[in-house]
Amino acid sequence: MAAAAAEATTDGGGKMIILISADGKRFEVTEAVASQSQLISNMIEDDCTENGVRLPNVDGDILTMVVDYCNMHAGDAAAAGDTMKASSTEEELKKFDAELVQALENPVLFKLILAANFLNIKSLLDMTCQRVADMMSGKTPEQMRETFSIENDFTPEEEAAIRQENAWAFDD
Amino acid sequence: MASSEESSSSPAMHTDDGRDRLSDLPDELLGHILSFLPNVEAGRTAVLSRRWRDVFGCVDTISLEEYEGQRSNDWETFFYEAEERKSCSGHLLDGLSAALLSRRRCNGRNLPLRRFGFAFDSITGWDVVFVDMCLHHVLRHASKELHLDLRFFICPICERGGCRKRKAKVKSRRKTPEKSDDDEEGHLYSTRCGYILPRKLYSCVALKTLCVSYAWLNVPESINLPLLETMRLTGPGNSGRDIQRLISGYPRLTDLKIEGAPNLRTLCILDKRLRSFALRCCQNVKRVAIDSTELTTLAYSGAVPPESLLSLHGGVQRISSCTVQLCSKNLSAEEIGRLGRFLDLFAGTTHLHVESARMGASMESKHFTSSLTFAGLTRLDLTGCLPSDGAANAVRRILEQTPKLECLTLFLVPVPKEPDYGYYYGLQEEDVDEKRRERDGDDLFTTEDESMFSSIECLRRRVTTIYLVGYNGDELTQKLLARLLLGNALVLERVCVKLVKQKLAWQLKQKHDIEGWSSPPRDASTASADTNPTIASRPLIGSGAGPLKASTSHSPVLAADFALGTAAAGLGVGVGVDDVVVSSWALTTNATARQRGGKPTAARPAPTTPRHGAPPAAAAAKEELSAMVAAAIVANNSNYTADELRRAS
Repeated sequence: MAAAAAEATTDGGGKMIILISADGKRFEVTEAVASQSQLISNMIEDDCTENGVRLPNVDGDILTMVVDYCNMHAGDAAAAGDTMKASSTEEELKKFDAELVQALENPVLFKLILAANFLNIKSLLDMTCQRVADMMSGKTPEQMRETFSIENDFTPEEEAAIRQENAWAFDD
Repeated sequence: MASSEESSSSPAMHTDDGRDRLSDLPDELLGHILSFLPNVEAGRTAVLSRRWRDVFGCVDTISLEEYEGQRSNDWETFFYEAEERKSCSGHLLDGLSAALLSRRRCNGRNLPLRRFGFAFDSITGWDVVFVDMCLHHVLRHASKELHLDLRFFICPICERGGCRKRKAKVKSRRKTPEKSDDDEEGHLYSTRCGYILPRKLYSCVALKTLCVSYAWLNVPESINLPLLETMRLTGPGNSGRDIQRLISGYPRLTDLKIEGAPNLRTLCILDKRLRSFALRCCQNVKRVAIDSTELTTLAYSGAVPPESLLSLHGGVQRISSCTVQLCSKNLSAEEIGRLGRFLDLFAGTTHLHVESARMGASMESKHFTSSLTFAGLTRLDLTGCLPSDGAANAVRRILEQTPKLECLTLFLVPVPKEPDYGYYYGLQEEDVDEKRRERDGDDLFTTEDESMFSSIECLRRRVTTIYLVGYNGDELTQKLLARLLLGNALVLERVCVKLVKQKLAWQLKQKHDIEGWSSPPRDASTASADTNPTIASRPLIGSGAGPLKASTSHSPVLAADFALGTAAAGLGVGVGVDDVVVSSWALTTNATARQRGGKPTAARPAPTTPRHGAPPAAAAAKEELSAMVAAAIVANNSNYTADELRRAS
């Protein structure tokens, strides 16, 4: 599916690059799509993408999402000059992005954050981190622990001490 | 409170196996996540667990603010405890030093600080040493890029126009620099600018954004800021020459905003291509020349400018967004004529916002002779009050000139009550309306005028979205205009009305009225109300819901921004105008719009949306939308002076 999407955007993209996930899945994408990842963009510059790019830190299902995301956003840079075109798809892009992060289970979301960080895709990293921040926002520490299953390994005394230490953040 | 057993066995609703995977992320990523939260919320995560204790030190943003007026009634700290040499802004300083210290504890494992900002309600001499220390620390450790937002005093920028005056009560221990001399208003401002910027600032090569409010700029001979792209100067006490010299020192400046600079007379920026330029309330400015080849956003506020004020070298073809804010209460015949010629400059823009005391800036007047047409305009925002029926004609007059308009937003301001004039402006002004009547004669709104609304081209064919913000049906002109707009907009897909705060029964009546007006898909709109009983109860929520309120209170600026930003995405979010708390609902009048509005996606803040404050608002908006209702966000005392830094991100 990813490959099909890639073909559709081949028009200006030029050369194809093969990305290989940790579990051996292969994704064929255009250079334009792949170079949204700063990591791969650097590799393209250094001309070391011939035999495919192995991404040992990224699972196949996560890479599928990343590739989808990059395919969607590949138009971004290309259409930047053509403002009319950019504005017409802007809304769709936002919709796509939001649906992508909304639907994710927490573990997948965190994996996506790691992948975005590893591949160095700034917009994806910001978007996913923002999503986590949204989930934390407005919550008390207790609620945060519950949301993310964080284990409180402080003794009550220690916790009180830390609160004291960070009093500026606690008293309103 | 929650014991560890409890939390570890909490339902695996979000995590598949209940394991804490968030804490498994490396520090830098957790720091990145926390950077999207307000500092105070991020600081609280220190108590989550041992893992989190120092994570706050990894955030790349430190920004703490006081709100306007926080110190204004604080006599205790300043006088009774004066012996102790105690700062008035203890809480702010505590937060800043704690944030900086926790960074130091991380000892280099953290991300370099990207943003640093603070806002003093009004800085005192005792804070100066501390601020010096902070700034030096931040500047010394700047590595890749640095965005600074330094606000030393919070007050309305516009001193002449409709803004409430607040006395400057900055008591700086420092002598104001000798430069304060020549300019007549220099003295007034020197009392305000209680802080002198360190010269070191001008050689911090990593600096990308510099926003400064009410400080002495202390411009050195040589400036070395090769990366600086965005600058906002608010109320600089310096002379216009200093400001000009400062700007010349930034080779890569693209966004510039100058506000409340009474000493600025002329400004000439021809050596670089600005993308965005704003000039606000610089009363004495005579001439501004900029290279507009790349200019896309232009904002002006102040009196109606003389024609010679703005010279745009390189044409205006790229300007797509334009904001004109007129501070004058009452426009003279000559000013109205000039306004027409000024607006002519922006005929090509796609988004125009005109703010004036009287909505539509008296464009219905016979003195408004311009025959300009905004051929490309798709989005129009008008702000102002509607004191008499004739003001509705001003709106009509504008709409007749915007054949391509798709989205119309009216920010309705209540008609000021008589006694307010004396209170706000120190002296009793003449009755504004009387003056206008003298100029234009009576402005009875005839049935003929009414029928002219039905022949407005853009209403008939183009306008799909109308927002009415701060609507109060008790003001007859507002009611008249709303009825004419909604009744004559034939292709309307979406109407969003934010009512002023009132009793529920009143709100329901207004809602009923409005539903009756939106003519063609009448059935659809009432049907949506029937099938969704929550709508009726929603207006209540807008004004008092706990989480909503909490989410916006720490940063009203951003809440308002967010609301405006998403308006374009087909999402209605209320904006509080001044102290009026608004509540809202959205009437969706056809299926496509409903579908669009119902997608949770629309609620996501745009990528450019500022970090702090937006997330909770977005989450709230999402919830509301699922019920086909736009959320109301309470943004009291909106302070529009300092949103630039975040917008620059």
